[in-house]
Amino acid sequence: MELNRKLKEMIIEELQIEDITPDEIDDDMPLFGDGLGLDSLDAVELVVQLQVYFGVEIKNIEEGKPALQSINTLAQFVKTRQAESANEASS
Amino acid sequence: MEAVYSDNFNSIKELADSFSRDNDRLSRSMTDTSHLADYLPKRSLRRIDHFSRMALLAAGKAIKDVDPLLFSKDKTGVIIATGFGALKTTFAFLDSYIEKGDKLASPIHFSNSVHNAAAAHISISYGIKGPNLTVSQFDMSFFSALITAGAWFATEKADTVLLGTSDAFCDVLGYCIDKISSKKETLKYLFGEGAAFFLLARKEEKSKYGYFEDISIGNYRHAGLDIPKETLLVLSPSSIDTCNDDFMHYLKNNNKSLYRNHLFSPTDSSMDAFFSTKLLKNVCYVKIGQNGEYGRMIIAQNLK
Repeated sequence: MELNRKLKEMIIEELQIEDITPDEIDDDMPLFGDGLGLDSLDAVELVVQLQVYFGVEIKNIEEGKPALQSINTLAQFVKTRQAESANEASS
Repeated sequence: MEAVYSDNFNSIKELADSFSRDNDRLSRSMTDTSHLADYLPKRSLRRIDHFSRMALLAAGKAIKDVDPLLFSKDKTGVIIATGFGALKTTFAFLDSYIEKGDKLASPIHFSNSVHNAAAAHISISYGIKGPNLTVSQFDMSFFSALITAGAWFATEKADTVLLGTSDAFCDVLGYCIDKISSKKETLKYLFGEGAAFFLLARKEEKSKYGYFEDISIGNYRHAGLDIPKETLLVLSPSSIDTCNDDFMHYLKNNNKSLYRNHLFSPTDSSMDAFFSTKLLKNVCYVKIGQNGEYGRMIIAQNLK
């Protein structure tokens, strides 16, 4: 859950969302559209900030679409990518 | 016609001396744009930087000041003049580029750093559908924008033009000003920041405050500069530093009144235009650049 919290704080800070706290973002809330209301520019910023904060890269829309659905899907993506990187480094 | 501005930058020299990142102190001196929430939904202001917020607030106040019958959004153009653009955001983008590399530079900072971001925000936020332009010619930006508005009227591109300026202070600018001023005995002017907007119409009889009788750009060293005798001359603060002794003698010999506003920004001429319309006199405002280039506007009051 620590990762989920960090993701929420990153989103609020980097996407300049002023009227919501991390506690008010549900882990399954859609990030785009009717949920948190993010848009395409936010998506591009989010891809950049995921790399800055967590060192993981979304390389194309096929990877990005499922990952950017909610905080939970984003956290799962970050965990998977970080584990893959750790395995590559150790092998 | 409305303006939002701040002249509380007395501390810039001290801030710049240490190249301080005292953002809290700097932000207290900045133009207050909190009233923007009275004009636009707060949520729609997300990601919009201070430079654009000043422009949005001044534009919103100008629109509110106008008779809605004179303001068809379909036939209104938007022109913004700026000398520096969104400096703070531009430096934030460059910082992210330098520190993290080109792949990790912030897209949000980039989108706000382009000079025409403020004009785009205005057209989108207030539903204005006419032509949209941003002019940047440093000291001459406001005059150039006014001449462009005149061309739009002449070619019937727009019936009304929401024309304004925006220039913002930032700590890097404070540092640069300090470096320049330390080479001189005293800095003869202070840097201010702000935005001023005018809703211009083609017909002078519709005017609420007065009208721009004549706008010109030229170079007084090549072709002289005519100041109509019946007008009050206002010379911008930077002009006094840049124009030569011959020109100052010319002004004195012609018995021109010389007024000096101590605040400077590349587009301070819009602030002078704003304040000029509150005078009961026709005003000739002149801004002179480093190489003799000048912008001149004659603002006539509705005295009849």
